[in-house]
Amino acid sequence: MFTLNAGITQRGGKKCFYIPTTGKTDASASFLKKLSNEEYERVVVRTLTASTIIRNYLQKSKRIGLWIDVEGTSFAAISSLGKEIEKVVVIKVEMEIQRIWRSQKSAHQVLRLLLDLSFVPLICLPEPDSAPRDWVFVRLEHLPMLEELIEERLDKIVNYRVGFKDLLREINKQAKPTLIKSVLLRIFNNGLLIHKVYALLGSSSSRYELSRKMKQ
Amino acid sequence: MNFDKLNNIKAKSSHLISLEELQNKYQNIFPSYKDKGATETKLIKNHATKWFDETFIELCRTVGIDGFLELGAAGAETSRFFSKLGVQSVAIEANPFTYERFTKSAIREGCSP
Repeated sequence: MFTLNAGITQRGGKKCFYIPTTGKTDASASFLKKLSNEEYERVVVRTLTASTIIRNYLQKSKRIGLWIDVEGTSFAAISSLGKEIEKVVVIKVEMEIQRIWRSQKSAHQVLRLLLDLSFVPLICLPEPDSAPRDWVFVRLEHLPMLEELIEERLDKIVNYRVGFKDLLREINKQAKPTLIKSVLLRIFNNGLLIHKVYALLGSSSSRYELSRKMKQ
Repeated sequence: MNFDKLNNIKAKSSHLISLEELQNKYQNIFPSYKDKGATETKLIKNHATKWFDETFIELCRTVGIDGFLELGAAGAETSRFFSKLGVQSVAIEANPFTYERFTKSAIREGCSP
């Protein structure tokens, strides 16, 4: 295992990092300042692209799991993967629903980026006061090998009442989950599996479809 | 991964229901936080986080990852976990103070600097 003291940006180099004066190891330290007026200590840190890290440290890896918790800069972190995104199969990412940071990319932009890169959302971590922020995306072509796992957890997860619809409603009223689902159903032959995924995400119409198919 | 935290909360609040009871109680409505007090909400959130982390790990193992990259690693818990399973892992932390205090300790566990 390797550890590196570096930030992730789209180009790499050096960048100003903002650390709240309330605590030097505060989890909300970021390359972005918060919208709320906070006092910061500015530190210049070395930055790399995620693609550089994969090329230098994970060159032998063919299937990479990615965990992103970068306080408002998820979009830049994913974009910095470049062609190395092809090696990534599972991504945990934090998507800010509300505007917290200055110059923050919206959750909708992150979601669109991942959908364009052929990733589909599979699970999320519900929040008490807002739509879910932490999501796990899986590369579309790997869904079939997860069918057993989805099947095994389906009832449990559906009962979690995780609201994909709620997420999309909050992040952009124009992005209808049914539209994304219909696109996925068209590009992915196994419609049943897509319905299972969407049932996992709380879609009542997919649950209906599954029940109907089970009765047949 | 937050199981220890959950147990700590349980130990400190002996009057609260057990994890098993909590799971049974909320099996069908979990994680509805409606009308829940602060402590109960915290328990549900911890339970949900544990489930989320475990499912992420299960997904990674099922698709057979052979590399793991953690961006914004702080304590690098997930990287350490995968590293112990023999998965080549890299933990990146931008905050120099967090890196010195939390991330770097992964080196003491036999990781490369």
